[in-house]
Amino acid sequence: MKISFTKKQYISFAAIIVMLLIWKILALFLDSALILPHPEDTLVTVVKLFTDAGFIAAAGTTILRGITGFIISGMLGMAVGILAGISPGFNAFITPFLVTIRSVPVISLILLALIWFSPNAVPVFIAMLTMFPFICTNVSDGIRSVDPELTEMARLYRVPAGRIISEVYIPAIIPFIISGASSAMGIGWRAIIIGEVLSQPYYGIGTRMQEAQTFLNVDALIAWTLIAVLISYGFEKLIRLGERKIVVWKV
Amino acid sequence: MGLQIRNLNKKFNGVTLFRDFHITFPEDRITCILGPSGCGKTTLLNLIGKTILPDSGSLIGFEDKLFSYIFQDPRLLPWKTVRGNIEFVLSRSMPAFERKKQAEQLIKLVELDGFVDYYPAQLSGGMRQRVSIARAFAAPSDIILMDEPLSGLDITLKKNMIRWFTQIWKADRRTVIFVTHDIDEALFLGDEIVVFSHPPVQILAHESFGEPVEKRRADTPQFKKMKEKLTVSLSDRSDVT
Repeated sequence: MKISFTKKQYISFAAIIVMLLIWKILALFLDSALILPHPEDTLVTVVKLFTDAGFIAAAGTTILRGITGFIISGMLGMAVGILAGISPGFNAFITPFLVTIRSVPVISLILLALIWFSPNAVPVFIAMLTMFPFICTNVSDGIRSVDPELTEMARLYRVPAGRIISEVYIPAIIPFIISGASSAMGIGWRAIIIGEVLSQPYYGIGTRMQEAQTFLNVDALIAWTLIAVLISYGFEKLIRLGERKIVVWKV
Repeated sequence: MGLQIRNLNKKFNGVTLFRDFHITFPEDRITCILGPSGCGKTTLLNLIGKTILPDSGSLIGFEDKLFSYIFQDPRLLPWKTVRGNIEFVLSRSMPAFERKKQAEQLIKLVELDGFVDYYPAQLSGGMRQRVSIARAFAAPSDIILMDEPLSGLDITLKKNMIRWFTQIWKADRRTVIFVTHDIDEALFLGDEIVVFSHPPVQILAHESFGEPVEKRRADTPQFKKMKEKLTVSLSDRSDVT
């Protein structure tokens, strides 16, 4: 088990090296920092960005927007998901809403949001709207997957309804919430940054990307992209870590 | 006067399971209902446990009784430890330390002392069923309803389970109504053995054991005679169908 795991890591590491090599070869071939800078130059830019005065403000604001959107959509998604899981009628009612939200192109949502909201609120709104269907669907699937024999056992033993929810339903849906959160976050970060690019709030990774693009600052654009990837990866790791800490009962 | 069911009528999925059916359960004894699959044994337990209602008839003496259950599948919450699963059925009006004490006491009785903080997935099938026995005795109840809790276990495990069960039961004699289709289980566990026919249910035999459960042995003449009798009554049933 351990050996295969390190082997897998090894292969992933090799894949990253190959990607960097392709990048390097393309950079050598194109031979223009304006089109594609060399990977090592970009790395220097990333390090420079880290020490830049505005870095914390830009990255921090984007992260804060992500977390805000995630918390709002998480709470809404849980509430609506639980209801949809319990009541087939409510599920039938809410499904068209979810399908609509999911099939509307993100860019349409952003363009509309730009008309409706202030630049600071647009990315949060977009994040919320893109994450909500994932969490909601996963929670309702989770509720429906709760073993009816367990809930029957709880009722037969006269366990009050409140405790059946908190000690039977909620723990049963936690794995579903986590996988919903993970896919929601993956989509969410992308949506937030697109939102920032278009709405141009004062702080934000998207704002800085747009600036870099305007001034043909390609290495900064790629550097911000790498930072965005790192943030997304970091949160995914955090969610998986949380899963291991919470879902201890699975062997 | 015991617990009685009188003039019970119940149809289930279009089948008349009970027609003017009577039965009495002595209190603080283990009554075992022996019968073929689909004869309405489980339905009878559900009627007693009030999860379904009779079409007509009366249940006397059950009105203010509390029930515990041991199911065929242990039905443990996978996210709770052994102790957590037992505490789950205890009222929150009981102080936390008291709940913990009570749970641990029962865990000791089923000899799972070292496994208090284990999750069900870390236990064997037999150990899980022991937890469910401990849970049934931890919950405040007057009557324990058991629906084929031993089926699916191998013969050694079955014998062990019977030993665990009787060990706790000796210390805490509650009325037990136990449903099975296995003659040996009935003989090892039942104080009273009632043989059911195919529906509509008739009582084909009703035997009482004088000997306490814990002293029962398969090689005694009384045991052998009883087994023969029950086998005959069960095969009578197969002549009918």
